[in-house]
Amino acid sequence: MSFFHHLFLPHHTNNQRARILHPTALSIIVGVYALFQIVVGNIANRYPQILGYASQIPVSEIIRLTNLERQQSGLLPLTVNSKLTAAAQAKATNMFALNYWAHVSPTGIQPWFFISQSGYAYRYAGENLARDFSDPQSVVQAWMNSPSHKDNLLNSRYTDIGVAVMDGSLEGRDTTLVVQMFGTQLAAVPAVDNTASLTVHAQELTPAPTVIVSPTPETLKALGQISESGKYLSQTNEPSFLNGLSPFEVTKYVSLGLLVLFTLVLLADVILVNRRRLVRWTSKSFAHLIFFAMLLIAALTIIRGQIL
Amino acid sequence: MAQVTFEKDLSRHPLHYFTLLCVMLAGLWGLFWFSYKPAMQMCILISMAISFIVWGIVHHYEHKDLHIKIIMEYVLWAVMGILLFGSLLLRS
Repeated sequence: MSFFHHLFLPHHTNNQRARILHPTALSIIVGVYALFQIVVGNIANRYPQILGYASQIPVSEIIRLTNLERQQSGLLPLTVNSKLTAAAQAKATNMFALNYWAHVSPTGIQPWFFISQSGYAYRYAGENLARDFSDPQSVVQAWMNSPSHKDNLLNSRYTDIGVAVMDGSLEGRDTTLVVQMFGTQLAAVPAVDNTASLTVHAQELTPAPTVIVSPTPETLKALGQISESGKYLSQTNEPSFLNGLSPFEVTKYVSLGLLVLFTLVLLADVILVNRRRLVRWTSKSFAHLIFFAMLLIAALTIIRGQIL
Repeated sequence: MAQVTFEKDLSRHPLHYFTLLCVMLAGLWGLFWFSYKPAMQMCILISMAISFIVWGIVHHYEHKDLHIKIIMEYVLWAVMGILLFGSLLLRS
């Protein structure tokens, strides 16, 4: 207990300042943390099979949870369609290759292009996207919390589903991307009106079976399962990491843990020093607290996933 | 050198702490505003860290207890903040 006091609270053994707030301890922590980042980065790059660049989002779990939500709403479960799966993979590949986070690519390619390209002749089609989530439950829950994505998930007109989960670097940030595509084959339902309506967020096309845009040669190149750009590294159908760890998770939990720890220690320091009316000649813990509290608030927000 | 309690320091320099709070809040707003633009977020983070160091120097200078050891402490905290938050920005 006294060691805890010595490390984290102002105490007579640490000159009335938590040991980890002393410049020497801070220097050691900064050095060790920087070394840790270098080691994690090197292991992930050199031995991807050990500390794989992989998410903990199995495709099968996304599909199972989607069907569970549908069944709870009295809808029929969706059937996994290999062509829709290929379309979702092509979309994810394209997003990493062209480095965009949107339903429509910078070159104007709509999601429906990938579906048509995969050979899936659709009557209805839809797309949900998610990034930076660490588990499948959070992904499906985030979609269910968004009215437009929920409409897609619980749309009775869809019969098929295809999902791709891919890890890579998007807009300068290591990301796990989830692409969920829904569809109903052209022959599966009677023909309806021929008015095409494209919406990005509702992601529903009725019925427009033809390709809408003409892709550029660069885009067509990007559509293949390529890795030459080096933008994306792996596609994740099932978790392939060791002991459930990925560099994402390791870094996230260590960094967040340290931010929380320092914020709490600084808070305790400010309160106790004020209560005991201690006089110290040091830098101001209250100023450090303001700085770290802001970073912690921002960190807790940015590590949450985003849907589109 | 004027060594005072935290309470006295706060009551003597309320504007100092208010300024720091405003700068950090502006930085926080910037981090949210440029969500998913890591390069911009990194620039904001570094600006926040530099502002924090400058604030420390000005505050202790005004307080007449500025010393190289004090400056080094602010630099260490700033580096720590950049490392921790930067890794979350770029790695997670």
